[in-house]
This record gives sequence, structure tokens and C-alpha cells, in this order.
Amino acid sequence: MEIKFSVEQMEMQPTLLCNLDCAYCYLSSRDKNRRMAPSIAKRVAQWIAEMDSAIEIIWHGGEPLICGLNYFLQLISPFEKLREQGIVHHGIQTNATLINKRWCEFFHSYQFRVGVSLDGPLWANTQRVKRNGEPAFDKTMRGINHLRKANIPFSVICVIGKNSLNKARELYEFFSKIGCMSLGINIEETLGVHIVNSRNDDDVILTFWQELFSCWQKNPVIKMRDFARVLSSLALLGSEVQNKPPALYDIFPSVAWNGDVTLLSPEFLNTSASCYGNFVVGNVLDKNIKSIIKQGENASYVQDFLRGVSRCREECEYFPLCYGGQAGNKFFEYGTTDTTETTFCRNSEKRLVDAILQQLEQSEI
Amino acid sequence: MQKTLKERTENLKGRLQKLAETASKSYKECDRDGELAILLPQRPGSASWNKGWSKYGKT
Repeated sequence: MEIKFSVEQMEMQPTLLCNLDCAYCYLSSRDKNRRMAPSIAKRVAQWIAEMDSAIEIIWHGGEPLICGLNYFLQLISPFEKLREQGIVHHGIQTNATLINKRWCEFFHSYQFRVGVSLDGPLWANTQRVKRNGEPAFDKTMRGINHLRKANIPFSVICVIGKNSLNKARELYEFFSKIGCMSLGINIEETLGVHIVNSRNDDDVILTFWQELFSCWQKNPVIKMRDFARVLSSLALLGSEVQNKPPALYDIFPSVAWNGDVTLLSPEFLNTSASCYGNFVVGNVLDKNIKSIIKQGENASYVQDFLRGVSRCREECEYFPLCYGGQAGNKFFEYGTTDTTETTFCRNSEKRLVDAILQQLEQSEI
Repeated sequence: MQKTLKERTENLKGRLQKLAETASKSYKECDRDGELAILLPQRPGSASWNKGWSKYGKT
């Protein structure tokens, strides 16, 4: 299978540091205060200016807001002309605990798409804690209130741990009331330094998705990321457009605080493995990013991933719905990217599809 | 014999299409039509393993 790459999104890691210490975080060095130098942002901006297409920059972390507003302004300043030209779009994923009126003005001025990490009501956030172990929930809700007051649309990413799997209804009701524009569900995953003990949760996860789908159908006030994506793909399954293999794949570069670049999965930043080294394909201070990415396409973990994706395509009937899965999940579950089905595939792709189809089939009878 | 995914969706095409439209419509209502291109199946453009960085933030 011949695959060509494009670059449509990239992740920037303005800092490693996070003010929270969530139990399921994949970052090992989130207590280290390492900030991205403005010179790195400048290099990235220079490269984007040389490209001939638009790109979305996702400011992730660590907690990106911990850099402080004035410092963050220095980081985004090199991109400003590109943003005004419509070439760069900014997005940010934050725990919202540091959001205040000034940050809201900043998001508004620079047209940031804001994503908040929140796992539901207080009882669902036991894994999202401050460094002293106290729940971060109140601070996150305070940040969300600032966003609402400023009329800034925001999406939420919700991680579903074991305690939330049987509470889809309560979660949906909560999120339908907090004013989020959309909701994405991430079933807790083995990633980076976080390991989820292997459990036979297939039936529980299937029931979770069914209940959530049922809630959404009855009251579709929230834009559900996972349903929107899968429903569109299912509606096209078997059609000519869906049968045609993708022409391009987004290689999704991530730029670390120190300028190191990894491909395919942000979880590869600050990771090392005997088979793949540190996953770094270059540093923006040493080379042009275009050449880093071109060279990186031949990196062993990228080539291994392509082999795995080829087998996914040959073996799995869900391939037209997911295009071959996530490199990070493959590596952190199996120690190689040359593999096919992962727990992530089962929990977040297959059981989701099964739940939707079962619900619809049952209601046809 | 167990039905394939394709066979299962054949009888549900109409409802799936309608539900997909409901899911997409909600994005339009938010004046964020631009994101539809990322959410809908990404052909003939690129395919994202990260599905429009949804896994990492954007929904």
C-alpha cells in the first residue's frame, strides 16, 4: 500500500510542566519546568510560511497556560501574520484551572479553539487532582465559567475510567448543562507511563456506548465527536467514496519544548524505546522542518506503522471507519508500531460502532 | 452466519444518513462549518490517524 503524507495539524509543547497530577497522564516529566524558547516557535513559523497549505497548531503540554500569558504571547507572536492570512489556526487543550478574564481576551483576540479536559461531575474526577492530591474540579469549573461569561465556545475531552463506565446517563446530563459546544470521549488508555490493567471490559464498554448513544439520540444538544465521526463513516460504508483508499495521511508532527520533532503521535515526545530510540526525527533548531519530516518518513517506527496499517486494511472490516488506528496505542500496548488491533481499537472504535448498529437494529425490530 | 458490517449498514442507510446529518448539523449551528471537513470522512483529502486531533483535544 503506497501512502503519501500531508501535514495538516501539528502539536506544540510549550511546556512540560503541569499544575495537575492526573493519575492517567502519559507524560513522565510533567513536574519539570521546561518551557519552549520563542526561537523554536519562530523556526516553526518560518517553516509554515514556506508551506503552501493551511495548518492547525495545537498547543498542548503539560498545561500550556502555565507558561503565563506574557510568555505565551511571545510564543504565538511569530505566527500572527500567518494567522491573519488564514494559514495558521490555533487550538489549545487545557485543564482550564488557570483560565481567567485575561486568558479569555487572549483566546478571543487570537481566535483560539479551546478544548477543556474534564471527566464529568466531581465524582468522576477522582483521577484529575492537583499536586497536593486535592480534586481539581472546582478550579476547572471556575475556568469554564470564565469561558462562558466571555462567550468563548469550548469543547470537552472526557476520559472514562472504570468508575464512570456505568454512568453514561449521568455524564451526558452533566455535560449537556455546562455549556460545552462538543464532547469527545476517551476511554482510559495505556499510553506513555500510564498502564491500564488488562480487563475484559468489552460488554461494559459496549453498554456504555449504547447508553450514551441513547441519551444523545433523545436529546442531541451536545455535539458528540465520536458519534459524528462514526455515523458519517457508517452512512458511507460500501459506497465508492468509502471503498477508495485514502490518498493522503496526516503525519501529525509534534514539536517538543526543546525543538525535538516526533511524528504520528504526541505521546512519542519524551519517550524512548530500545527499538526506536527516542522517536525524535530532528530538531527545528538544526534543520528545516520540511526536511525533518521528509527524513522522518523513513524512520523505523513510521515504516513499522505503515506495515501495521497495511495489515489492518487487509484484515479488519472496521478499517474504512478508522484507517488503521493510532500509532501511540500500538506502541505502548505492544512495544512496536507494526501491529494491528489494540485495546484502543476495541474500546473506542469497534465497540462504539457495534453499540450504534445494535441500537439501531434493535429499534428496527 | 454473522453479517458483515457492510451488510448490517445496508438496511440502516437511511437512518444512519439522517443521524449523521443531525450530528453534523449541530456543528453548522455553531458556525463552525469549517470543522465538518475534518469530522466527515476525509476523502479525497488526507486521512488522519488522530482524526482531526480529536483524540488530543479538538472535538
